[in-house]
Amino acid sequence: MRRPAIRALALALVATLIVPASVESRQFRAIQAIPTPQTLTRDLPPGAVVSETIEPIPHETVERRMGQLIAKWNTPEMEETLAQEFYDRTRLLDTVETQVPKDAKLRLLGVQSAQTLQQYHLPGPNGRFATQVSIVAAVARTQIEYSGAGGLVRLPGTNEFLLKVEKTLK
Amino acid sequence: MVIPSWPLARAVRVFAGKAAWLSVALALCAPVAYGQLTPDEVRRAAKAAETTSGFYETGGRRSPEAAEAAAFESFPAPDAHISEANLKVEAWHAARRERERQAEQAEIRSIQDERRQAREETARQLAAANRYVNTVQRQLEQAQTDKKQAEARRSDSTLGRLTGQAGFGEAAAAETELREAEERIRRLSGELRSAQSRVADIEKAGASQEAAFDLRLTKAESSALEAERKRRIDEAKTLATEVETQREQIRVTEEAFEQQLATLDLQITQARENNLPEVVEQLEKDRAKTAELKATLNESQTRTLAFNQDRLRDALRENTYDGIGPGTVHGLTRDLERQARDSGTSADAATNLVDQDAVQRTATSMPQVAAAAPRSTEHTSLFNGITRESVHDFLLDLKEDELTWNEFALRTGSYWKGVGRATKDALVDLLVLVKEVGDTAGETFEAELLSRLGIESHVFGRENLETLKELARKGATIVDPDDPEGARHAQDLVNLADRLMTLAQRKVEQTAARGNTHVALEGFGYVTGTVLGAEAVVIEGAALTARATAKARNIWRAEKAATAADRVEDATTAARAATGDAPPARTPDDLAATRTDTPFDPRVLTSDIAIVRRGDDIYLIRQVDGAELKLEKKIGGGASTDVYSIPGRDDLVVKITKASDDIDKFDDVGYRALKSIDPEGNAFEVPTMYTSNPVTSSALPEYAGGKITITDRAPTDFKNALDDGGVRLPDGTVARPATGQMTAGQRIAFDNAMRAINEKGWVWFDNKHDNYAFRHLGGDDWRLVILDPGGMAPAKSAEAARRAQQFIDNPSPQFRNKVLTGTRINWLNEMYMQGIDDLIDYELMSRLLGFEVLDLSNIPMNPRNGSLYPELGPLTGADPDRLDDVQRTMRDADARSQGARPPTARDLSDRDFVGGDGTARGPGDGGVHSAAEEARDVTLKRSPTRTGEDDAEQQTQAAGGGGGETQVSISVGGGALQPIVPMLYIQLEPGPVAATDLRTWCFECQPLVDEYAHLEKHGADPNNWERMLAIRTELLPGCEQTYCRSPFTGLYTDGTRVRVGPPDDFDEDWKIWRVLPRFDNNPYAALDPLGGGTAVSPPGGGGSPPPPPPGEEPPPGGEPPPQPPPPQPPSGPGGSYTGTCTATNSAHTCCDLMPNINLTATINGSSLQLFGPSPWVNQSGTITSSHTFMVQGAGTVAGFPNINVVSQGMFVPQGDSFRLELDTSRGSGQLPGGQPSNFHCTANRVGN
Repeated sequence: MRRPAIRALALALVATLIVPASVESRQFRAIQAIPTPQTLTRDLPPGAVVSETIEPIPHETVERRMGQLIAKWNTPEMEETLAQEFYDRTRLLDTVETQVPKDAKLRLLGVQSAQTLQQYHLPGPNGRFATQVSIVAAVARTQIEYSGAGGLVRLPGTNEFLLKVEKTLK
Repeated sequence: MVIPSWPLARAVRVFAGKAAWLSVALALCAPVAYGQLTPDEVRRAAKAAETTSGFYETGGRRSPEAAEAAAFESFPAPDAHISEANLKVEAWHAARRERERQAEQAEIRSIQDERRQAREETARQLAAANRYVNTVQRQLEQAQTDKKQAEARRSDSTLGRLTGQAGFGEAAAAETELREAEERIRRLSGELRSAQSRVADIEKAGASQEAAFDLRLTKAESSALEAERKRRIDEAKTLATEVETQREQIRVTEEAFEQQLATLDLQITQARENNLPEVVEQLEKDRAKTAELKATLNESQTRTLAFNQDRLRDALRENTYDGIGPGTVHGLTRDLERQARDSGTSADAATNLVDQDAVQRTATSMPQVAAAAPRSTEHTSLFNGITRESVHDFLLDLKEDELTWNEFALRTGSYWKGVGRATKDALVDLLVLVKEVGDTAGETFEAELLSRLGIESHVFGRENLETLKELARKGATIVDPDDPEGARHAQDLVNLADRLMTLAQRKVEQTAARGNTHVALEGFGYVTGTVLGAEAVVIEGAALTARATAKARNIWRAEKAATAADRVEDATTAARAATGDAPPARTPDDLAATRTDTPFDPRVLTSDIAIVRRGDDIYLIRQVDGAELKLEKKIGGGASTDVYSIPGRDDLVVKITKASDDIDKFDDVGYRALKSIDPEGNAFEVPTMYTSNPVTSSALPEYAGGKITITDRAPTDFKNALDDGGVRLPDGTVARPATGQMTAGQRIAFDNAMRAINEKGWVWFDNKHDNYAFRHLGGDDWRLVILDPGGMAPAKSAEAARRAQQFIDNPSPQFRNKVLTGTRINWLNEMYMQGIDDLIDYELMSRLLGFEVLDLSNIPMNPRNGSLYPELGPLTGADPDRLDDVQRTMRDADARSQGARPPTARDLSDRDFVGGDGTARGPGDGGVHSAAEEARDVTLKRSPTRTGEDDAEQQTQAAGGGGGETQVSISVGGGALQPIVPMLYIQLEPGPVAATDLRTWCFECQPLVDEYAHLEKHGADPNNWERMLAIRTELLPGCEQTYCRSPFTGLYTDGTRVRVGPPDDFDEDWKIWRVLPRFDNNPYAALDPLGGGTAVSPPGGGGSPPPPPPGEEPPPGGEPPPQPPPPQPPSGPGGSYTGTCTATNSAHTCCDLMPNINLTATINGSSLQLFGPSPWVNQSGTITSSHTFMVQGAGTVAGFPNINVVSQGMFVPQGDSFRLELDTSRGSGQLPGGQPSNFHCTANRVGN
């Protein structure tokens, strides 16, 4: 009576040990929560005060700014387009520098949706709120283009960009 | 087996791995080898290694040279092959050292070359700039000559026309020439100022460059670097020693006084037990005085400590910045330990930063000081009685090299004579105190003088202070005036005092003229309360001595006579107090503690007025008789002046001007000018000034050194008239309409006053609305009252005065924009450009003020009145012949809109705000809105709709009713100012709170915003109140007013948002924060930005796809139609190029000149080099297959060496050749100001 139960328990343990290991070994990707105002609240900088009423940034503004940012991909100005908090920022810049063909360009094909997920204020030196920060999610279709051995190479993709917009008094 | 843990054995064991036997054998040998250290070496090591850690850090060998020498002495001669090896090693080291030396020399030569180049470049730029200055100067002189000739011709032609010898044409031609010459002079004057400024910039940059080269040379040469490092270590050690010693001195001082206080406590207890109340009382007094002196002493010592800490911090910071020497105290300790180890001395002793001798001296003398404290503090009252003038004089005396220590000593002696024999013991105590405190505080003061004023004085110092006691002994010879020797000394003192006071008076004037009063007072303030207290007493003593010899009247000069006499009187009183002949001197504190019920007539304020505080009240005390005057309420003021009312005197006010001699003089000159222009007060009034005297002492530091003036009380200034809820005159008239603008009568009064001033050749530049008021004469008739006469300037003629006045009162759109939204520099530049500067008679102005005034920037002004009140424009610009018509038209228009009466307080609620019933009154409602005030009224309900969609106009409709709810009315718009300044009027029930606008908000802005924030937070919508706090307050340079604006577009976010702020006031910074891939080919994936996804190539490959329009999806299938192959570019772009460069930013256009270049482009494979002659900086990099490139290099730019340069561009196919287009950025972050020097260059290939 006890022995089959122990066997079953052992099998279950083995199964739980093996299955996730095989999954993780295929790709080392962290689980990324879908960005929502609630999940983003956890990452607020100190002193930030969240605005409960969000002033949405217009779609056309997002599209225009996205175009400007993407145009700097694979250029010396690309570094300026990435927020300091961008994950693996330095590695990305190094990789683009070393692996991407010099003539490769990234083209914005279209912005499918744009939503202002969060807005908060940061205090200025005098303690008053001086900077408005918005986090904008935009799903965009992009295309990498460069001259390969067989002619023009195009790599289309659809990705969700989270943009950080800091609005400061001049 | 136990293996010894010596380092050698351990290393060998590790090296031997598992061969335990080998490690054991070697370990056994190790102590033998270790034991072969010579006794001398061991002794040195042991001496050096007084700390355990130091011993192990160096392995017991603090001096490698010593150890090597000892080793050579003790070891037998080595074998030949070892000697050979040693020689080879030595040769190798010699070669290495030689290589290093050569590299160092090469580096030095390189720096010297760069320095030479930089100097040449600076000299070249300087020569060019100077040539340009000379050229402009010559042109200016020529223009002035032309002007004179034109004036002469005009005069001749006028005369000729009268006599019939010349026609009108000649006069007109002369007039034209004159105007042209004046125009040229105006333009060239501006150019000359700009060119001279450029020369100064180049010289400044050159000096900075030289300092940078010196530092580089020092760092490049090892011996110089070592010497500099040692010097900096020594310097830091000296400073750190001062800090640590001072800390220790504070400690021993505390101990001495605590001991003395404990002794007194014991004596008090014993006296109580013995039932001796008189003794108890005396002892308690002594205790209080001792405690007081302790606190004073501690404060001065702490201040000195803080100063020394600052000096140490500065030195360490400089070391860090230069990269030489210790940058922290910890680093200093390490350096000192290292030095000690190298020299074989004690590390602990080297890092002990306390001067034990100084501490011991303090420990010895402080008990004496503490014991004598009850007597010394008799003089502490004199310390408190020091006057600003006396200390200021002393400060100025120190600026003179003639003031030697002996003279100081003589003055100390004079003090002794002055206060008499009875103070001898007290003086000795005082001198002991000076010795202890002055030893450091005096030197601190010297350092302060040196750093702030560049004055080197060597008054203080231990060796000098040691002579104080000797001085006290010698002073006895002049105590007796009957003693012939004493009389001779007294005569010398009088002569000395005469010279010093003359000198001081002259220096006061010079310092004030240079505007350095604040600097001087800052230095004075720093040391007040320390040794300067004693010095001031000395000076007062000198004055007393002089008076005793009946020569006081010869000493003091005219302007100082009255004050000096009072000071002498004070010193006499003090001396009598010290000898017990008279009551003690009345200090501000004493005066504050006493109350006399004898108020004095403020119109007869004499000099020597003290300001004291009792609780929240402020009193003026006339020190001669103790009579006092209470100041009732602060009723106005500005940056430099506060105005107080006087109880029971509605006709007078007290104006206290803070210390600023220049402002005082402008006020004086303006006052006298206005009084002479219109003595009867027909066109305008100026409140009469009755008395004006300096503040001799003040319990309120902001008034120290200031001036007290008694003047007639004027009406509330125009700015604040409305903010007081509208100053209601007896007939119900308010002094300022609720619109914030002037009535027709007020406009006419203002214009009449300005015309009267201009007619006499004066301009009032500072005619802002808090500098004037209106006196009501009945109906809509008013008279201008000028409250602040500063900012008056004489013009070269009445016409010039009128033109300057019209410029600011009827401003052009450019000037209005700059004066309302720009900085002081912006609008001053506009005035320069329009020639207003040339209209002013600076020679006359300088003569009246007593110091030189060079241009408009020296005149205190805020010329924004005409821009704030554009309704003045039609009057100001009106021709005198049409003035009556314009005035009549204006009055008629105003009467039509006001019902033929000036606006009243009732208007305030009827016209612009929601009434008590909460009903908004819009255009056409009662006819209260004039055509010029087409304001868009928006009424916001306190219960928000939270739709977030309504615009301002919709809200007007949606929120009209709502009786019983709190109502807020906002009027957006504002007459003629609307395009520039959107107005915002706000009222909260039940009465008006304020009216303001977004651009010119003033002091009431913030309370208003806070009020709204409070309502938002505690009202119906608590969620959005923080937006209200997001309004930033700042002080504009050159502007006395607070400037507020909202950083966001809406003032409200509760669903009834009103857009009141210009959206272009913000900087938006967009960044990619994260990228979450939905499919493959994430171009921002750090590991593989190309994604490894499916590559889509067009059939046949090559070419580029047609760019789809922004936002448009590509055609279904993602396959763009095939494109024809692009035209083949011509073969390689290499070769020589010549072209031109154009600056794309203005940061360094003065100095970085690349107008024409000759570039050579060399392409070798993918390698690209761009080179050319100076100022081009050679660069290299790679070129892409599409002939684009980004190359970089470093060289001299604008005279600065080693500047990084980056260029980005491409070779553009052009026919069968190429054109070079590039943008070059030179010296980002390296040139003065941090901005790069940017150029765009275009060059064509030579030979095409």
